[in-house]
Formats: sequence, C-alpha cells, structure tokens
Amino acid sequence: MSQQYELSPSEEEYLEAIYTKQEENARVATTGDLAACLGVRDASVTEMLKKLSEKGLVDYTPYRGATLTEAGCKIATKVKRKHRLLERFLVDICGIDTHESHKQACEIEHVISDKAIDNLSAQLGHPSTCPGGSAIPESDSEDETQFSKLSDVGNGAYTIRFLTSREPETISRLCSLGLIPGLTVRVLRTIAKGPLIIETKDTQIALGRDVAESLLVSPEGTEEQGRRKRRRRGAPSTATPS
Amino acid sequence: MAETTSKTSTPKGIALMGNPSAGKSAMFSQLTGVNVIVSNIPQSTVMVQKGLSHLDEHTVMVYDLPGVYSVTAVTEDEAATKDFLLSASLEAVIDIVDATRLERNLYLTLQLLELGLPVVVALNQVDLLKTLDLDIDVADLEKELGVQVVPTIATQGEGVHEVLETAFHYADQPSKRTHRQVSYDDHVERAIAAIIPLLPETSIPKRGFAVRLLAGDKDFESRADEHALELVKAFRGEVERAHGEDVAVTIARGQHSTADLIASAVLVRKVHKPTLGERFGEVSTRPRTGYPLLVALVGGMLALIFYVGGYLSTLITTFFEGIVFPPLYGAVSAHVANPFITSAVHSTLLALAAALAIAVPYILIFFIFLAILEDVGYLPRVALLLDRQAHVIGLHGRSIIPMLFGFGCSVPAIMATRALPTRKERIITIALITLIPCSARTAIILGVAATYAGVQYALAIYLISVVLIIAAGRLLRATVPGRTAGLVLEIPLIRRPALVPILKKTWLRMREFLYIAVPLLIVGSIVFGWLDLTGLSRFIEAPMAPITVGILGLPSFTAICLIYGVLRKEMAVEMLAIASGTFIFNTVMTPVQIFVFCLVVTLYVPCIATFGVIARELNARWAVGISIFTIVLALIAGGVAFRLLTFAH
Repeated sequence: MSQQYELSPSEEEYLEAIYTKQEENARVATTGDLAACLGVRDASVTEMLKKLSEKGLVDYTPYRGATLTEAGCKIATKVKRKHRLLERFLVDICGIDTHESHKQACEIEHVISDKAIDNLSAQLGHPSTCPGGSAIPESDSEDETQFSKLSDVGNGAYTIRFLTSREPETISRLCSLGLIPGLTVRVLRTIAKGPLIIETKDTQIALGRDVAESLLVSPEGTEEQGRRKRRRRGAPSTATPS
Repeated sequence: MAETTSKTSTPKGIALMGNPSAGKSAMFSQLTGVNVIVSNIPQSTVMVQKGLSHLDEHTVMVYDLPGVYSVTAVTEDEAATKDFLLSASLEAVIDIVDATRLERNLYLTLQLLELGLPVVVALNQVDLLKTLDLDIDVADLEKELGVQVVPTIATQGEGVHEVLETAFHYADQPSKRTHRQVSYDDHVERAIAAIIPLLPETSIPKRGFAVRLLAGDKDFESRADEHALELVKAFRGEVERAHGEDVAVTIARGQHSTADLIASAVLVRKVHKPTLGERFGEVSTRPRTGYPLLVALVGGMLALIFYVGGYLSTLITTFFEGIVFPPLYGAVSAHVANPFITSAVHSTLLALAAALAIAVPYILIFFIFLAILEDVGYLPRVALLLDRQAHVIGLHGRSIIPMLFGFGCSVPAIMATRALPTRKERIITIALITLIPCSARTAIILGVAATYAGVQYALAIYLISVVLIIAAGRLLRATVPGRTAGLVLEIPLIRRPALVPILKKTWLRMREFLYIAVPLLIVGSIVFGWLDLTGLSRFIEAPMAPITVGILGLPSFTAICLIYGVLRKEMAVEMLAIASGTFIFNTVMTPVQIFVFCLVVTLYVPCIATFGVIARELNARWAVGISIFTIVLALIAGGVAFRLLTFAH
C-alpha cells in the first residue's frame, strides 16, 4: 500500500496516533486528542488532517476530529505492526528499556521495509503482543484473507472490515441496517449450520450463513488474523517468544 | 367513515413512514379507526392503506406506507413507497421513530430530510425507554434534527392527536429551522459540490438529489441530464478508488455516523438489567428453547383450530340447519310456488351457513392467533429458526412468514410476499403457498377426510402436501431464473400485544375473505341448485367422467364439485353434500374415495381469488402456469393414491 501513497514519517505518525485512539475505543480522534498525543499545536493537527483527508486516508470533519478510512487504516495498521514488533525486538533482544525502545521504534518504523519486518517477526517467533501488552497486528500481505468470516467466529464483539457480497439486495440491506466496514457488532449466538444473531445499535439482527460469510471481521479494536479465530474475547493472548 | 362534508374538497394528505416494527400500524389504527380503504399505490401493485382522520373540523387523509429501513429500494414495497413519497403532494410525513432503537431509526429520518420531505418525528414507544433504562432528551433531539419531535405511545393512543396536529400545521410552522444535514467524508462532499450546479430544478433539494445519484440510485437518474450523470460516474469512480468500497457504502457510513452522533448526544444509558420481554426474546431464539417453543406454538395453534374451531363450526352448522333454516325454508316454500326461487333461497341459505361455518371459526381463530404472534414480534424469530430448513426448498427464512399466512388464506399470504427481496424468491414462495392447506382446505381435511374416512387419511394428506412442497420447491429453485438473497432480518423486541392493531389486522384479512368469497359462494350455490333442478348437471358430469371416474376412481357426481371448488375450495365439500344429497359422506363414498377426493381438492388449482392475486402480483402467465402445474400434480397424486389403495385392499 505504501507504494501507492508516498507518505512522510510525520504523516504516518498521525495515522498511527488516530489508529491508537480508535483502538482505545474512541469513535473519533479529536484534534485536541491528537495534539496532546503528538505534542504539537491544534492548528498543525488541523492542517495535517486536511492533508491526509485529501489523500483519502482519513475522514475529517472540522471541529469534530478524524477517523481512518479503509486505506488509512491499512497503512496505520502496518506502521503500528512495525512499531510494536520493533519494540519487542529492542526490549527482548537488545535489552533496551521500554521508554527508550518506544522512542527508537518511532524512528525506525518509517524506514524499515515490509520484507524486513516480516522476517523480524518470524525471527521473534511471531509474537502477538508488544512489551506494553498491546496486540501486534498481523501482516496484511494477503489483504482480505487476513480476516475471519463472521460465520466462523464465536460469540463476542467484532469489527466489520470488508463486505465481499456481490448481491445488490444484500449490500443494500446491510447498508440500511448500518452493517458496513468500521461498525462493531456483537455476535450473540449461532444456530448450528444456520443463521446467527448479532447485536448492533440496540438492535438484534438475524444474518443468514451465506450473508455472514460475506462479512469479514476482526475482533473488536484489533486487526486479527483468521487462523487465530478461537481466541477468547477480551483477553490478549500471552506472547510466545521462542 | 362516510365522506364528511368538509370545506375543502380534497383533504390534506399525511403519510406515515417508519422502520418495520416501529409502531406504524398501531399509530395508523389510532388515527383512523376501523374504516380503512385499501388501495394501490399508483403505477404499482403495492397496496397502501388509507383512512380519514378528523382534526377539529378538518378531515385528513392518512396513508400508511409499508415499513422501510431506507429510501434505497430493494423490495417492491420499498420501491413503491419511495415513488409515492416523491410524487404525491403531501402536507407532511410523520416519521415514526422507535425510541428504543433511536440511532438506527434516525438513519431513515436523515434520508427523508435529505429529500426535502416535510418531516414531523413521532418518537414512539417512549414508555419502553424506562424499562430499557434509556432516556432521550426530546428538546435536544428537536434541536439536533431541526424538526418537530412529538413523543408518542401509539399502542395507547398517547401523543397521537398531537402528532397529527403538528403534521397538519406543518406548513404554518412559525420558524423554519434548518434541518440537520448529513456530513459526508471529504471526497463525497467534493463530489456533491461539483454535481449540484448541473442538476435541474426539481422539488427535491439538490444536495439530496446529488447524494442519491452518487449512491447509484437508479430512480433518480431519469431526473438528471447526461452531463450530470457523466460527472456522477467520474466521481463515483474517484470515491470508490479512495475508499476501496462501493460509494453506496461510503454514503451509508456518513448517514449512519451522523445518526450515531445525534443519538449519542440525546440518549442517556443507565445500567440495564434485561426485562421480561428481553429474556423471553432470548428464550425464543436460543435453539435449545426456541425450537420446542416453536413446535408448541404451532401445535397449540393447530389444536386450537381443530378443537375450538371444530366445536364452533358444529355449533354454527347445527344452529342454522336445525333452528334457523327449517322455519325459513318452510315459510318460503309455503308462499312461493316457483321452484327456481325456492331453490335459490335454499342455496343462498346453505352458502351463508357454509361461509359462516368455515370463515368464522377456522379462519378467524387462525388470523387472530397469527396477528398476536405478529404483534408481539414473534414472526421474525420463526424466520430465523427455520432459515436453515428453508434452504431445503430453495428459499430463505424470510419466505416462511408468508407461507405461514398460507395456512390461513392464500390471498393475504401471497400479498405478504412483497416483502421478499428478489423476484425468484417471490415466485417460488407464491407457487408453494398454493400447495399449503389453507383454512378452507383444513376444514375439508379435518371435517371430511378425518371425520368420514379416518384420521390416518387426514394425516396422509398433510404428509403428501409437505412432501410435494419440498419436491416442488427444489424443482422451482433449479428452474426459475434469477437469484435469491441471503437472510438479513431485524429481530424486534418482544412486546406486549396491543388489542386494537390485532383486531384491525384480523378484520382486514377477514374482510378480504368475506367480500371476495361469500358473494362467489352464494352465486355458485344458486347456479348449482338450478343446474340440479333442471337436470343440466348431467351434461357436465359426463365429459368429466374420464377424469373423475377414470383417473381418480370417484363417483361421477364429484365432477361438478371439483369445478365449484375452483371458486372456493370449501365449496367442493358443500357441493358434494348437495350433489350426493347427504352430509354423511361415508354412506355414498368409500373411505378411499373420500381420501382421494380430499387430496385432489387440497392440491388442485388455486381458488379463483388466489388465481387473481397471482395474476396481479406476478402476471397472468404465472397464474396459468401455477394452475396447470397444480392440476397435474393433483391428478398424479390422486391417481396414484387411488390405485395404490385399491390394490392394497
């Protein structure tokens, strides 16, 4: 993705900061939030958000704040992944303290290549959390296949990431009920081999198995890989450095 | 309500809009009373209920539009609703917003405002907010939306008058506040700004027009010129590239997030413990408890129809045939010499008794039961629980609901298929509905087959119907062109049933039966009486003999019964009694003949009212096709059953 978007380190920093805010469950990262987080003036934040919005990476509304678009989210996820893997590397292998490792990771994350980071992850035994305990997003080299189908997950909260259905009736119905990428839904129960019931916006909705298959999701607040779909909700799995 | 002499010749029109299960029909009942006119939305087959309401000395025409989630039309119901909204000159649109599902309901409100409609919001079911530990600041909501908001409890009639009054005086609202606009992301906003100058002046605000065009709404494309459409296409491509998704999704996101912002600004949530209704709702969808409950409800319904309906039916029949008819008939034959008139009187009385003996007990009980299930919000749960099973017959769970209506009467059942999303699903569902034993056929199966041939024969007819429905479903799934769309269905909260809407729904469905069926029954009965009187009936029996006697092994007098059965299924039985000269059928027919007769009547050709509805909802070719299909099916099933059973004996 970064080939398509030529981004400066500071632009990536912003995306990362918005990502962190969204991960913390705030729906919108406000200008004030970002200014505090990045240690800059509100006016610079506004300026940058406008710029990122023009590149189609964030949805920006004046006086309200910003959310990541699909494309923005992809880049932010990638940067975040680099950051957290680097922290792991700096703490576990280089023996640097967490404060220092954060600062250095912030520098390196913008220059290290995707290939290098994937290899680093393999060397570290694909850790799932950073030293601070936050989840490390999985590599998105295969795009959509990284997410689980809603039909395959257990009960719990999930964020919709992609809509793969091509039936106009289904897309339109999902849109009108608000079941679109970015929304978090809670799976209440599944009827064996049949439809499942989800809850969102105070409403319970029954989704046929075929419709649920067309919704790709990740556990709420994180970018999660499909093969770890059995993960219990809420509890971040412990790191397994080899 | 008769036409009152009001000063204005055409009363002001007010439409009721809202999400399904937001409480629209309750509101409509409260506004209009019992007398409702059901009429078509112009240029469509979709029916809209309208009724007159009174406000001081003014008369208002209230339209009850089908419930929709958005103005993006998928089903025929939704398409017609949108068309009606944009073409009819309405004084105001009352948007019924379910207070318990505020955010989701506001999505439609924002779309209506975007189209420049004169919206008044009825914030309904506010009584439920307390039980759900929610609170909505109505004044804040008014400010956020920029429209008037009236809290209502439609089931109890609270706030209903106020909402009508507010809507009626919409035009002379003192301050024209600006409505809340949806804020879209920058790409969409830029596209809107660029498209607006190219749009023609219409009644629709240009911003809303541009949004609909960008969302790919075909219904608006005819209203714009080529240049505008070209630009729209270019911008659609640009937005899609930037977001990696359909523009409709991006636009929906904008509308939903604005709804989200408004809802979070006015809604206060407190710690919530599940209410009784919620807990029951959970029990009804949890497979372990949901399926037993479903079986119990269906079983209970059948038992209710069988025992209570059967009891009432006998009571009514004995009352008329034992007490009312003999003196009436005696009086007529004593004073009138003309045999045609006495025969006609006799036939009319018989027809009325038959209608009352079937319509009142069986259909009424069924429809009341169904209306209760519908009103408390149970029916979508049936669709959910049976979605997987419905795949066996090539359908989705949604189709189960109209099919359930089919056990009562095929006519409202076929009308209910309008809520299905694709034409293929409608065709299959309609075809299968004609094979479902409706209450008239239930009366035949229970009243004739079970009583005079044996319970095992009645059960066999049900079993054969089920097998044929599954087989026909699979056949149609493979042959009917088109596609089906997966299940996406809101599961509403379980709520306390409200008496008025239940009675009203029951009455509307009953009325279709009474108005269409009873006159046909009387005319048919009189004509048959005359045919019998003049001996002309033999001319019908003879040409039909190869079928009745040859294929089905029935007595030749059944020919005329089968023909009359086309008018109304239960007439076949009435006519059988008349033709054979007795109600005790096992004295003139063998159990096998009774069984074959009932089986054929159950399966063959839909009654004339059903035929008419199919022709209107699909087209005449499908109506003829489905009729031929069912006749062939009935003759094969009847012929095979006759031969197998005779052979076995």
